[in-house]
Amino acid sequence: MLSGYPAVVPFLLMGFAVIASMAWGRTGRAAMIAGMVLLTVGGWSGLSVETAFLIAAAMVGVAVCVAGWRTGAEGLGTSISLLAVFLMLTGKGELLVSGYELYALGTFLMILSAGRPKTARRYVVMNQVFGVIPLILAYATGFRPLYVFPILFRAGLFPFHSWVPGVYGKVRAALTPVFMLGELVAFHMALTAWPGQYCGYLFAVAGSVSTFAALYSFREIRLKKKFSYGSITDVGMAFFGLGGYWVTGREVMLYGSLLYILYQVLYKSAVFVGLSAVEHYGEEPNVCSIRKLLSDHLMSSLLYASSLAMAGVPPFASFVSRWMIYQGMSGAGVVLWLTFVPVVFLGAFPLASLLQLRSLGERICGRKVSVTKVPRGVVAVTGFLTVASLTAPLSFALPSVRSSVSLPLAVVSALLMVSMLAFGWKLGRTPTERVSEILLIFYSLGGILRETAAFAVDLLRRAYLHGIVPVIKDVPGYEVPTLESSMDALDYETRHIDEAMFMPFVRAVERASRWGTERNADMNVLMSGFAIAFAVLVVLVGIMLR
Amino acid sequence: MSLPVSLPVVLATLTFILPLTGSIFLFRLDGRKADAVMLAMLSAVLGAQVGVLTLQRDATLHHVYLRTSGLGEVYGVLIDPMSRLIGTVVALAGFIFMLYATEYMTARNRGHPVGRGKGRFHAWMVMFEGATMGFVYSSTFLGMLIFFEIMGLACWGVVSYYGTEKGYRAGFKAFIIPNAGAMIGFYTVIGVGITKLHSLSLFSLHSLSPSIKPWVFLALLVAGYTKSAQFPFYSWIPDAMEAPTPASAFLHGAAMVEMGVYLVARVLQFIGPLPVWIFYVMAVMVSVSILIPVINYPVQKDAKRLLAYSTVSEAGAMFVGLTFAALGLKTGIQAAMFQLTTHAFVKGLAFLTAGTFTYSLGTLDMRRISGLGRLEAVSWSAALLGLAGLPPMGIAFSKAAILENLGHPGLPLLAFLPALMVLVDSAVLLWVGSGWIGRNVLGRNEDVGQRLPGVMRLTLVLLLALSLTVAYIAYPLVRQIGFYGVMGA
Repeated sequence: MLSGYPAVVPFLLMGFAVIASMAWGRTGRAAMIAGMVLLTVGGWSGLSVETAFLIAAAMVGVAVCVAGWRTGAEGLGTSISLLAVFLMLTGKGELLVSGYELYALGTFLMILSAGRPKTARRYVVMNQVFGVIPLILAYATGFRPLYVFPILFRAGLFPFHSWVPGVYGKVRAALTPVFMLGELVAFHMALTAWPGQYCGYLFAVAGSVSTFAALYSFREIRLKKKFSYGSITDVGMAFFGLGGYWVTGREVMLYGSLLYILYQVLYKSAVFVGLSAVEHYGEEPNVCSIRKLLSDHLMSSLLYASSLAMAGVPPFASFVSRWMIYQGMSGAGVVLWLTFVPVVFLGAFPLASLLQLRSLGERICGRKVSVTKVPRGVVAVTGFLTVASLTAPLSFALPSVRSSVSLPLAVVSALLMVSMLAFGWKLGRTPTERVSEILLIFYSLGGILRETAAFAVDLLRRAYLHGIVPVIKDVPGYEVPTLESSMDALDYETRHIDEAMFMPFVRAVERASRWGTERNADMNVLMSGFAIAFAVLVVLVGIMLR
Repeated sequence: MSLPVSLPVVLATLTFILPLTGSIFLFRLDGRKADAVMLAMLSAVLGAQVGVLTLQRDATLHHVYLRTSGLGEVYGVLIDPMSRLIGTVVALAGFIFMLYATEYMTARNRGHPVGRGKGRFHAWMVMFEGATMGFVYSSTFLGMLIFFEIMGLACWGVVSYYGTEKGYRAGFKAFIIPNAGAMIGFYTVIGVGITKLHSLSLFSLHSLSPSIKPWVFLALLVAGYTKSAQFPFYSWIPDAMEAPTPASAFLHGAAMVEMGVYLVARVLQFIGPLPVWIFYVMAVMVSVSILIPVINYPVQKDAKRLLAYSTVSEAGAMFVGLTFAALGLKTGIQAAMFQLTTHAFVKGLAFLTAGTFTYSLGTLDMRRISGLGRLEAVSWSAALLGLAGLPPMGIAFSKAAILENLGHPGLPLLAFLPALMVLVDSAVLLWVGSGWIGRNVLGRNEDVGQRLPGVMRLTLVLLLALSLTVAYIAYPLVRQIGFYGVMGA
């Protein structure tokens, strides 16, 4: 795909952009945009999945450069991340691995530049442990099941989803689409990494469990975190569809999951870029501050459209793709049906969440809203992405997509979806406290899992501090229990293990060398030493004479 | 009339003769005169090395300087892809680090002001570089032993340079441990060479009988382990951080520690097939060696000590490559040399950045360093993240090259253990390093410190550029490294 001489030029251009962003920010931005456009044109392979991924990546990448670019370390991180996305989309082994690591570096810089060193550290280490290490091992050994780990991590799916709300919530909203490109890349990897039933079941289960994030989205009023949970749900849905395709072989599920992942990147990016307008005025996007944005009619229309696309309302993107995935469930086995049930039930929550947001805003934020002028760049980018995300129904122009759909199943699926939307409508109009009471068991379950993971990590930490640190550092015994973190152990003297191993020998040599210099040698010691030496000599002579 | 020796051999010989003899004069000089003479000498070495690199591109060249009837080849020079590559690394890194030292070793250094005695430091360092070049080009064990010991002597000289009690103790330890290894390794092989092979040449190694070959290899492995600070001989290197930072960068980051790896690589090139239990021994030992820094990283507050432990693990990664080479895999030896090359510059970048902490802020305690200036922030972040294995630093690619050996069919299961340890090390260093980056780079600037002079800034930029590009530049030469078949002495 992206091979040969013409593809080198855009990569070089983007490499230059990475360097240029360190010194001449805006030049770097222009070079990045040019590079992404050139790569998309150069990688064009007709109407194909590869082309679709490239176009989506380029659209979001350009949107980020236009709406969110800043000079300095953040710009450098953004450039590196975007470059890495295109490297990963080549699908070639070495470029994929390098791209994955570069993406980690770029996104790490972005989070660090947002003034969140702890979040950045946690993210990059998790990426290394669950993403990079298995990826390198998979590439080096050819053992394909290992690819599942870096895919699930990059996609932000269960059980590697915990970094998503923290990162999406803390990075500038205009740059969050860069992380969505990571979701896109993860799906692209998943298409070829380990195709087959086993992987299908894994993705279906992971995707299904991930859709439970919709419950956390429901109770969240901080918008960036709210939509980050929504992101986990959407990606979970897409992976459920892909997994279902590998289990059932129904092509309609594959098309549905492809549409889902492509369009969710677009409409979510539109929402986050829209939220960046609130940040532009120095406020945290929440249920009240968003109302200032909605006073702009154009902006509110765009945000409503992309939100409805996210909520699964017909005829918008996620309705179409979800409808196609549902159709593929005929002929599925028990395991897949078990994972399907929560997916359907939780499909009601995105709409409920949006309705609840609106009613909460009216209830707690008051009626008077000051008019705010939204930056034109943000409006333009949001508009561009929103319009793009509304084109999902056009996929039925493709004969292969049309032929995968069967009318009876399509009708049943549509009815199922509409009924869940009705349920979601009702749920959205129910008071939040009442719903939270009903859902308490699910929130508690999530809390239990979180506490279990934290307990395991804490156990390892204590084992290190109380078991290993006293070996490598000269810590008095009574102070060992007081060690709470590695920082507490910094000031103790180092104890070298190899020195400790050899010290008895060294001391024995020292003692032996001092033995002869003592004026008043102890007679008992002398006689004992002589007796031992004589006994050893007798034994040796005896052995030699045998 | 043609010369009795070819020009590449002359140039290769100059790379060690010139600094070894010139270092004696440097003991008598001081101040700017010492700087000028030292830089002139190292420039000449670098020039000679570039000459060898460009003039001897293809065939291997082996020149015997001294041969006797009883000992065979006593001393000679071997110019092949490995010596050309590593010689270039040593010469280039040495020049850059000593350029940095011209400003670091001055009274303006806030942490370690140096008045008189600069010439002594330069002398030891130039002696060290000469010994390293001689070691790299030697084709006999006697020659390697001589230069091995001179390296140890120079190491003692720089570690005890500041004249403190800790420095003397550390210097003695840094001398005695590799010396013990030399006695075990080199004396064994020279003894075998005299009594059995009647030759001290590397080329005679393949003639060892199968019953003693593995034991000779193990003895030399011990010598390599002591030099490269591998378990159970690692503790001299954290203590050796008493040395001035340019010395730490060169000896303990880029050159001396790597010579242990180079020694074992040379032996593997010539010794021929080894029994598989050698692989098992190496796999276990290197895994334990990498475990030591992993458990020590989180409890280090001193920047140089953190980097010293990182050196133990990076040398361990090189030995992982050699572990695969012990199975007869050419890619193992290539990966080890690739890692050696990339590591030299990124570790040098890390050490010299730590040196700026001493120079500018007067401390190496990372808890007291925050809000670094732009260049120091970039170089410190790039070095730590690079050492943790993140691209685009070249060391990421060399580590990947080591791990690619896992793809060979029929590998014992134990082969995964050292590879996994390399990955665990990168994860732990990333965790620790990212924590310090956040504190040192993002924290509030409480002590502005003095501005870095232009020379130091230039060296940091050079090393940053080399860390990013050396993998691409060196790779064609790395691919030429391989094993030797049966060849004439």
